[in-house]
Amino acid sequence: MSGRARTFSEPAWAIIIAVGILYLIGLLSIYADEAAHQSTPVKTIKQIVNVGVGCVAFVVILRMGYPWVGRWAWLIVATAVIALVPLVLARYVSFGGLIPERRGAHRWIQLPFYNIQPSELMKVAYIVGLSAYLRYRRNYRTFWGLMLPLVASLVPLVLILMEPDLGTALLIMPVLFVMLFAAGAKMRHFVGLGFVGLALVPVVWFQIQPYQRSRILGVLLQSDTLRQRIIEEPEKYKFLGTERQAREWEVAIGMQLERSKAALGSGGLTGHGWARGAFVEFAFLPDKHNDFIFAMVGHQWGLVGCLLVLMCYVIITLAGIEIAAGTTDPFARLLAVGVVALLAAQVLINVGMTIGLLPVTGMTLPFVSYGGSSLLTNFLGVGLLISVSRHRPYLLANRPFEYGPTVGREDPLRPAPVFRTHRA
Amino acid sequence: MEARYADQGRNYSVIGGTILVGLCLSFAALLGRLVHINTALAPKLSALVQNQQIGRTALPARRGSILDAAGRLVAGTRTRPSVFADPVLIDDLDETALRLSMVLAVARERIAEILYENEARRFCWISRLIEPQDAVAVRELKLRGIGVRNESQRYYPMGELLAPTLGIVGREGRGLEGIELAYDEHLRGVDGQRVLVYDGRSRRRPIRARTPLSHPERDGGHIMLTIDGVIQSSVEKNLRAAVESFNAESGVAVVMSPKTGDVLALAQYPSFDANDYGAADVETRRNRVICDAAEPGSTFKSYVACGALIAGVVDPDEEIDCGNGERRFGRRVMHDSSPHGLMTFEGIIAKSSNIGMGVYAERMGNDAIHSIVRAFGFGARLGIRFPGEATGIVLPLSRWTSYSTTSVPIGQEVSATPLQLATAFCAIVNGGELMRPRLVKAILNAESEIVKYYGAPDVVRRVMPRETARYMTEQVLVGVVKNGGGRAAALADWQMLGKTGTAQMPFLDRKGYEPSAYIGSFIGAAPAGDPACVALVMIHRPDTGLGYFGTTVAAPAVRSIMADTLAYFNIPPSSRLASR
Repeated sequence: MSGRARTFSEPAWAIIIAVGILYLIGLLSIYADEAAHQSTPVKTIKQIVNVGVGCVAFVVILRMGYPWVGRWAWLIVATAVIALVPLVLARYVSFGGLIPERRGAHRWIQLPFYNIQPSELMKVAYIVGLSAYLRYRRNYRTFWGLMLPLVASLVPLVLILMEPDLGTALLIMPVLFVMLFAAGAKMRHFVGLGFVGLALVPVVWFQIQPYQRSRILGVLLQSDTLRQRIIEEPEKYKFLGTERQAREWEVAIGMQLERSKAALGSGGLTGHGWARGAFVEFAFLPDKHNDFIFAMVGHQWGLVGCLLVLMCYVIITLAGIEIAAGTTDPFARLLAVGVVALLAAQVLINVGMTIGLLPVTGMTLPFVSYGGSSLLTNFLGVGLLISVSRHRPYLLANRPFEYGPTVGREDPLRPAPVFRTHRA
Repeated sequence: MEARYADQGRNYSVIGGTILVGLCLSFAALLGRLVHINTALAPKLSALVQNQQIGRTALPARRGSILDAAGRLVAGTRTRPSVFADPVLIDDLDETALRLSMVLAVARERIAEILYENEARRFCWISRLIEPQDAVAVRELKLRGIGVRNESQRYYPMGELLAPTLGIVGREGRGLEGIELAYDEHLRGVDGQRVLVYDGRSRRRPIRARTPLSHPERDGGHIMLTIDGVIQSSVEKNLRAAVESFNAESGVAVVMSPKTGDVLALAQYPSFDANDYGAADVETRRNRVICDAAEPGSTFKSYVACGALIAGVVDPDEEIDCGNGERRFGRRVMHDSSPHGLMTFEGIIAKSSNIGMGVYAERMGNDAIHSIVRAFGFGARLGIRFPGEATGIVLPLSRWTSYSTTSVPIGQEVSATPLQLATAFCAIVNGGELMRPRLVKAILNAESEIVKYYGAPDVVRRVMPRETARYMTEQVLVGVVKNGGGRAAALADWQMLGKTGTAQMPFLDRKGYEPSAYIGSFIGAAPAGDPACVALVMIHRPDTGLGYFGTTVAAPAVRSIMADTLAYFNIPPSSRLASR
């Protein structure tokens, strides 16, 4: 078999088509608002420019190939981390217009022609770095071996948290665990870590910022019964939230969620139609173009539209797993799994918060939400995934999702010798 | 996929499978919740979209004014502040109640009671239509969850004047009675609404102007009445004096312009203050001039007399023997108040002889009596635009008996409203045409431009030839005042004409008449020759010890009203006119 394929495989095509559909749905939804209000479609034009930038990045990645990315993995990670530093510093020193403050956070570097959100790029850099780190190791098979990747992950995590950008920070953990699991870490270690995490819940609950607590409370208080209980016995439920938070839930901490659900629920099966419905007409729902765009999809195209969007993600996920399964290069495999985990986690968290299953955090819906950095990141991810799919597996290689001693290799493309040390 | 790589070892299956199962479960969870939201929760959530997020604020239209014939305001709208609360926003209800009670004329306990009752609501009134300076004090307290909003209040600057005619307006701004009800749609205007939406930051923000949801209010138009406040106040003053001096139960009066049918004044006593209508019961509020019918008694003779003239059964020179004041007509024996002997037609009307009327009635027959009674508009609505207008009772001809022949001409067995009596009298004195009575002179829009002006009289029908009417007015009815029962109504400056009436009040629950329960009435017009004004006064249940004949209890009131009205109209005195 030849080393490089010039054409796209079936899963690659599936991914490209699904991404195209998702992007168009997002673009239509962004344009709907501007069309309904007969204003200049600034956001629509920007989003078209954004996809142009994304496509350029996609093509560049394909041209260079993922092995090139692997070779420069450490540099990429270092660059991404360094890009985060000024954002953290911006808390203490003013960078003026270069790093503006939006909603009490410093997340963007404002260049004359383009805004960069380094934490978005960090997501991809993190996957690249972790794949590069894990590919030669097997010590994550032990509990303490898990600690180094965990601790190393804290660097970007803490930096992003200090912007602050809780949503992106939360994304690091599921990606890390899925990649460790795919690399072969033991289930019982995760279970152990899970118990530690569970034990920390009360500590974390009282340590986090009040506004963060209110986000979680916002989800819990969807329950009328719980709200009623807190109103009736405020003393007993003081640890959860105040009577006032319960009383004013629908206009304060639960407002965005309630509106989002209302947008979805009022859409019914087929929705109000493109550029129709109260939520398009009025500014009811904050962030209706980015974080809460899924609610607008449901509002305009109903359950059918939501299912189409979810279907696209399922296709991308399955195709991504197939690509991961189809490669024998451990770096490529981890890269593919990481990208799939990243996309799936974003979808699950974003849709989860839109429908009231998870707390509201700043999280975009991949390919659909408005935003240049988010689109760029996800196109880079998909570029890596498809790049992996274009490199056919070598005959002499570790079986996929297996672990064993690997001989140190300069070039990951070089065939790895088969040492079957694992007893099935 | 699973099958394709099945041979590649358990680890692949375990790891890939676990990831797959985990993802599938996650997506399934999303899907389940989505379906839940779109089906089970959908109705509630859709309602939320409709009700909570689109805030509709009514922009109340200003209710138009009611003016008298000279443009004086008799019913107007003013704005008054009202204090309301949003109890959900109030942290300490008792504290708020205490502080409000210090500036409002409402007890602390009462405010606290209102607040606790509405604890979970977003709106309740604390005190409505308060004085503006109190509202300033409330605003200065700067209490969270307490606000002041301007409300419209209907007010009647003339108080008791004209109250039963103007009617009332309910709290919701709808006319409930009287003119306020009859012209409610015009007066009310069209409420506007401002549609406000909560934007993402929970501020209220008006939507764009092009949405059809918002529209401005259209203020109500105005109504100009035919009633003149000066005449009205004279009527009310004189009516009250008559009722009180004869210790009567009540009285009604109506003044009309015979040439047009315009009602110049209509009153009843006792009345009520329109600004405090809650204090008066429905009985008091009912407009008794338009809505109450009663047996008219002898005033009715004037209408049947016209019928006798038309029927040609009257020879003005013929003398009818009214005998010793008692005469049998078929089964019925008629009485006069005193023996009159031989009398001409004019004498019979002037002295109001029942026997004389009976003679003419027998000559006319039921058919002719019925048709003249109906021709004058009795037993049917006149078509004045007023809620609850009564028809009175005129039995169908088929139910008339030989008894009716003598009963109807003396104003028994029929009932009529004071308005019907006055309108029919107008038809006699204006030359024989029945005019539809009117209360409204002009309809104005909100900008006070005249939309419709009722200038030309609305003639219902010609009742009798002009000559008949002229003879009736200038000879017969003038005679009543000159040398008959209406002498008490005679004016020094103008020649008055008219007809007296004293009706017995029938039992409400059985046949027959209540002993010593009378309605004394007088209907008059002046000046003879070209009457400008018709006035009717009816006094119900006067103290019989003080007098109960129409000539005693009602004629003086008519005289005073007529004197005031003619002077107000600058009508030259008849005596001077004659001397010229």
